[in-house]
Amino acid sequence: MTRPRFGLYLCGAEQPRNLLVRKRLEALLEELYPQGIELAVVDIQNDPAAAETVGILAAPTLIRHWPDPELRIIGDFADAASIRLLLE
Amino acid sequence: MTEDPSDSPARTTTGVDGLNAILGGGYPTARNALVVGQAGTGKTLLSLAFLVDGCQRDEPGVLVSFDESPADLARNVASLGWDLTALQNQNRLRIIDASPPPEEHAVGDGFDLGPLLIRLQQAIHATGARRVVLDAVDNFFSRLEASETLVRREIRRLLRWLKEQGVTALLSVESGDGRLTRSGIAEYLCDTVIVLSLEVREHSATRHLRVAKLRGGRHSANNQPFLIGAEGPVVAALSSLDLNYPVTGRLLGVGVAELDRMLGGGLHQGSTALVSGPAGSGKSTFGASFAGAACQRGERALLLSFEESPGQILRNMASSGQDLGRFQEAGLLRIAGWRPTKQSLENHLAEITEQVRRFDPAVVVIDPISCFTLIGNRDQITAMLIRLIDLLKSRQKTLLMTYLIRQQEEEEATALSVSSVADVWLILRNVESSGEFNHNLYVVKNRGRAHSNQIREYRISGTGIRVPPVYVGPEGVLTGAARAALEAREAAEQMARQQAMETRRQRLTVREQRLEREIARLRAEFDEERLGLEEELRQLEERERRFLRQQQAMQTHREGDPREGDASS
Repeated sequence: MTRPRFGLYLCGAEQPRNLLVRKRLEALLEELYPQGIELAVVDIQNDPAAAETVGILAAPTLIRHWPDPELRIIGDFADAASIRLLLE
Repeated sequence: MTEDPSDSPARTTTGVDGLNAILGGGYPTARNALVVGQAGTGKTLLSLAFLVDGCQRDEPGVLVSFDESPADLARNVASLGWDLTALQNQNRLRIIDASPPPEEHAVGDGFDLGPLLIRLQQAIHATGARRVVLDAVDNFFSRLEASETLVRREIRRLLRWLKEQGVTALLSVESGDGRLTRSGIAEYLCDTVIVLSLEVREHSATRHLRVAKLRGGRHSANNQPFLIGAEGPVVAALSSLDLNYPVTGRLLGVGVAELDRMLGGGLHQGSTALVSGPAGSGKSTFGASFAGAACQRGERALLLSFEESPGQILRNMASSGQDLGRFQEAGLLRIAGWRPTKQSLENHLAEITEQVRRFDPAVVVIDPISCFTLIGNRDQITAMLIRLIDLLKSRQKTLLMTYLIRQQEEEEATALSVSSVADVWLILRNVESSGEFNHNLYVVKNRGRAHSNQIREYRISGTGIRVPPVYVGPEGVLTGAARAALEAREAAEQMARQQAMETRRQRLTVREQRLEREIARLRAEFDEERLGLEEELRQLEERERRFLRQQQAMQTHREGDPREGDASS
């Protein structure tokens, strides 16, 4: 069974702000998908081509690559309730 | 990049001539410009014109399209002759697709446009871009429901960043309830603000462009006609600030030798002529003849025909001895036209301006100008003409316009009004006499020039327009068969005239004699009166002398020894 695939696109992955975002998101995804997920974290500053390929304009952006349909959520994931609604 | 020494800083051409003129050469270089307008006003086209223009000047560009996908954009502008795909392949244009993906949500304000800036920087670097366009940037913020705080922060950051890159940037945003214009932040931060508007009236759309802000530059803040022409946006910047037209003494022949003589040598270069007349008077032939004469001299002529198709015109002219087809083939003549009711007066003006700009003709013929009475009143038509004439005069282009007179009061008033802006007014008339239908013409106005005031007959035949030698009789210009009949009558009339002269001579003699007699009578009367007065005067003098003598005598008597004897004697 394939696990849901996500990509998190950040500008400066090691910035404290982004570390916080990552922590929040991982907790949220763990709660929503107890079966486990795949999460690729992409730092656009190191890999601008990735932003080009998937068409990222703002950061942080989370993309659910699978299952379909593709879903994009932009923000810092502080509002867990809203994120839950979108992902469920 | 075009630099105008009179204005600083340097300018970057906009891709629209009329707009360059208003902005003093273009958008200020290495600054940010903003285009504001509602949907359908032409924001995207104006932005793209800027980039396409750059590609032609070795100034590559980057487009961030927040609204349309690159594929849609390329399709939409292909008809304007803009091949965005080719430009991208040549690495002169890079398009960043920022159109909305199907499922996109923003939660909260905790994001920024960092990735966009990184991608922009890459694109600028890869192409060596000098120009950047962010089309419908407000669209992005609206769809993410960004707060005003976020919009302000990110726009400020974006504009500062663009300035740091040294590129000339153009942002387009939708007016009205868009977040950008509501907060006013973009207007405040951009050096140039251009407002586009669209007005739909009586089924015709009129677009306008207005430069609302130009930091560090003098500009016209008026609404200018803005048109999406066949080859891109057109701004008819016509309110020329400088009305000092260059004046050359050059005279242009109108293609009819005799008419040239009547006009004192032809039409002055840069002047405006009006040819008015009823249906069938040959107005179009005069117009075409003028255009043909220019081509004959090797000059370009633009014939704008609103009632006949180019084919029709060529056929009609061929039948009156004018082979305009060869001029057209030689690229000297361009015949263009469109339906008068297709668009508003302003747009007609813009389109005419654009035709003139593209073809750069020496002479322009508008046939007929009266067709605009369908879409405008007298004042509007006159106002439009004044602007057109201003433009043509400033470029030393000579205009001939025809006017169809249809015995309707309003139209005649309009003709009169139009004639007021023309330098030369030639009136054509159809005259019916002796069972014939003939044409007369006369020059009613020829500003500042001597001209013939004769009414002349003219004929349109297989060899063109001919104005035969004039025959002027006492009852006016004679045409056709009526000429011969009058020649006989003329002889009789001459006799009558001589008799009349003789009568006058006799009457004069009589008057003279009567005067002489009157003078003689008066003199006689005077002489008589003088004699009487002289007699009276003499008597009065005699009386005076007597009185003096008596007085003297009395005095002598008193001074002598008073003797009684004397007194008694």
